[in-house]
Amino acid sequence: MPGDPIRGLSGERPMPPTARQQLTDRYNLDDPLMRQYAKYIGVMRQDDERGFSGILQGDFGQDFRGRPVSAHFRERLPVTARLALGALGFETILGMVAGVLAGLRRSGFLDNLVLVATTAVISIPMFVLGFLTQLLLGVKFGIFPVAGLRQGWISYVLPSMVLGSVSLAFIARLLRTSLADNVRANYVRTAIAKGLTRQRVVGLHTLRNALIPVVTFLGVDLGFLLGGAVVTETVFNIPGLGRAVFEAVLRQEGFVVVGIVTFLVVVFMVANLVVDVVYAILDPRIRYG
Amino acid sequence: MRRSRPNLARMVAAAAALTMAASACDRQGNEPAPGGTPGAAGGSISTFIKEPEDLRTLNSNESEGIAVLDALYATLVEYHNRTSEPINQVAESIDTEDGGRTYTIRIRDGWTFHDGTDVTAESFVRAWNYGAYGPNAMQNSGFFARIEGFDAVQCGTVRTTSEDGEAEQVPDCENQPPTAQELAGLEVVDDLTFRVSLTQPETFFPTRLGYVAYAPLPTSFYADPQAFREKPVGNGPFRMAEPWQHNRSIRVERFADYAGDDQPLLDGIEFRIYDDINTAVNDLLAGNLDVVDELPPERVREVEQQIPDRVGESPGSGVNYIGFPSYVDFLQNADLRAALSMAIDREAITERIFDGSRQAANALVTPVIPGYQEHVCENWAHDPEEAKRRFEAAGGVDAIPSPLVVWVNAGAGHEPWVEAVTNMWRDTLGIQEIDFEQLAVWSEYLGKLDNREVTGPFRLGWQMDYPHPQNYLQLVLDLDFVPPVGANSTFYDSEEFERKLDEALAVTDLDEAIPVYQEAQRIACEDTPLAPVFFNTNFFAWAEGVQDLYVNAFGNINYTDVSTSR
Repeated sequence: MPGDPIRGLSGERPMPPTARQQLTDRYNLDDPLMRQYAKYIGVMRQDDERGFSGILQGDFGQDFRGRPVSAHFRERLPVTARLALGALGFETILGMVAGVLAGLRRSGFLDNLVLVATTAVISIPMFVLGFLTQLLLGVKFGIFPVAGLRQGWISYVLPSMVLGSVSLAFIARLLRTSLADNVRANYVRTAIAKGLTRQRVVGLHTLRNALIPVVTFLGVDLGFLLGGAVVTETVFNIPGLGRAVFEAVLRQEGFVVVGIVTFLVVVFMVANLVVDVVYAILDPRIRYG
Repeated sequence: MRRSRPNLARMVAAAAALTMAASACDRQGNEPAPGGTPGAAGGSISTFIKEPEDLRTLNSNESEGIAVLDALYATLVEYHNRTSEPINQVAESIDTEDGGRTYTIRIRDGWTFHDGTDVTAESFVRAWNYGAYGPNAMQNSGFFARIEGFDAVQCGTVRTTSEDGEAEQVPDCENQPPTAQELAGLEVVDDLTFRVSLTQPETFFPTRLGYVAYAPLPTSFYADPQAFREKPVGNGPFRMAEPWQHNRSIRVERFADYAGDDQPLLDGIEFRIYDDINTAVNDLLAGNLDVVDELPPERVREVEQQIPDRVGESPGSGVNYIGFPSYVDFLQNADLRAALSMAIDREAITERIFDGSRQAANALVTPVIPGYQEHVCENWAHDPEEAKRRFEAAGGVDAIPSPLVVWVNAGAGHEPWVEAVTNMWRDTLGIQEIDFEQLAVWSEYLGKLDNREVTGPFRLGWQMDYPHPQNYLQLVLDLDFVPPVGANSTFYDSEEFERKLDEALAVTDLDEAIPVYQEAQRIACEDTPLAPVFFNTNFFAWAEGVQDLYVNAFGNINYTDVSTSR
């Protein structure tokens, strides 16, 4: 990041040299970037004895305000998790319904409607969608809270919907195509021939197979949601990890960004592990061993 | 006008509030808001802030933290809400006998901190000592620099070589610790009296004392300064209701034992933390937030249309100017600088760019400061004919590089008016080739200014710390106050100006000093190291039921005046 973050901290007013030096030392800002990174990760020892050991030791350090980065996780992870779960739930349920309806009646009215609607959602940038719904549903009609988390779970509804909207479109389209392929498969024909009800054929046989690409997508999507949270949380003023990243970038706190992103990568990897396990449940052929 | 049925309880409350408001009037000298009746006691409001950097008086110097600290602390002097005039608050008297070198400060009896301990002379002296002590690295340590013995409590420096091979002096507290623990210039006389000795006379010293860095601190602060930040203990009208909820809110409640005459009417205030002010404005319009104290300029008209009776306007202390760095060769020509300044039609900028929501500036010292002059000298006023003449005298277009590079920090809303300024230079002076150097990162921009790396006129602003002409003239124009010590980013260097300023600084009585400060400002105007363009205006909005809201010249709200009818 260009510029001197400490100069930015004090603005037009000068910062006392000692305070400046203390911050420079604490964050190794005099070091070349790679050495700063190595020290922050913890593969290289600190020069002084300030008790910071590095990310590898589970220590994420402090931000410029002197608060531990781990305090951000503690305060903000539950918020972002709720938001992401809300988005995940919203996009999965609505996306699957739309996908099934479109997939079962291809080229019908519903299929076209889903096609047009998803195209629209995908093409609108998330922050535009956020401000638009905020202005319409929050300020104008007052259905949802405009911003913040003060009204409990209902505060999460609108931001979750905005956050999940793009993925919803993807899920609907993925499922539609996948379902359309599977409907014509031999095992479905067999199932119909056996006289099973339509519900059972679609619900248990077809959908289960058709869901595999969707589940793959959901795993990747979690990373996308965390990225999208940067926008959504800022628009809706939600104190989550996404907003923390946004603030840290603005304040040029490179090490805070690295800390949070490292943390999110771990979360992302765990999520993908879960996805791999779910494959095995959906399709016994993919069991490992 | 709204009528409501009188009811007994309300009348009693109103009567009680009236007496309180009346006594607040005596003290603060405030007249009640025009047409408004003093509000009833009780109720609480929510107000917009962004996440503060810190909530310790010694380490907080940005508007967000100060907005909260103003409610939590009472300082030796307070500023009149409308005129910014300093009025003794915790101080009973602040006296000097030797023309401003030593001050004897007597504080009023009966003040307590929120934790019940007494406010004494020691509460001030120990806090100031802590703030000044180098190894504590408090951001506001500079406020104690004029007190005797400040150098002795600073860390020594060592010579190091920076990355780009330049030798520089770096403070090193470990190997060069301070030689003293406390400021020699602070002396506790008795429980309620202390004496301050300055290194040189400073007649405006009492005016400074309203700044939050000079607030007293209870002994609990020293036990754990880090923890104190999360739930500071003050002596002001409000106290923390719960620890700071980071990125969410800071809630304060009425302090029952508050000793000030300006008793608060509100039961509590919730400082609600937002990232984006636009979200807060939306929240206000939707009825979820009570106060926004700084409407973004581009939304003022919109908000005025939606809630016409609930938008206020007041003069701010900020001034925006175009600086002419003295280290740039072609800008060393005084005629050229004057021509550039006189070509700027300030009225047109405030009207067309800001829709009338800014005030045209023909002075550096702003209208909220005693001794403000509407017209300082012709160089800071619009005069296209004279501008042309002076420009030709300076050598015309040939005297400036082509293209002329103008520096501006991008993304903070300054581009439109700076562009307007350059258009005026084009039209009036015939400078055709003008380029912009736009820097999006504020700290990078400041760094260029500090390191004398700017190659042409630049835009910058200044906002006061305390209401005194010195705060503008010395900090922005004195050569002793170049970055990083002060804000003289043009590196203006004039012996005549500094002599006049020193003369002004030596006069104890402000009324007598004002003409001398005005002369100093006139010298600067004749030299034109910078061209003031406009003064800031505060715009604020409130929810229905909020009364007597006013944003003062510091950009803060005096919450003891505010009431709510809900």
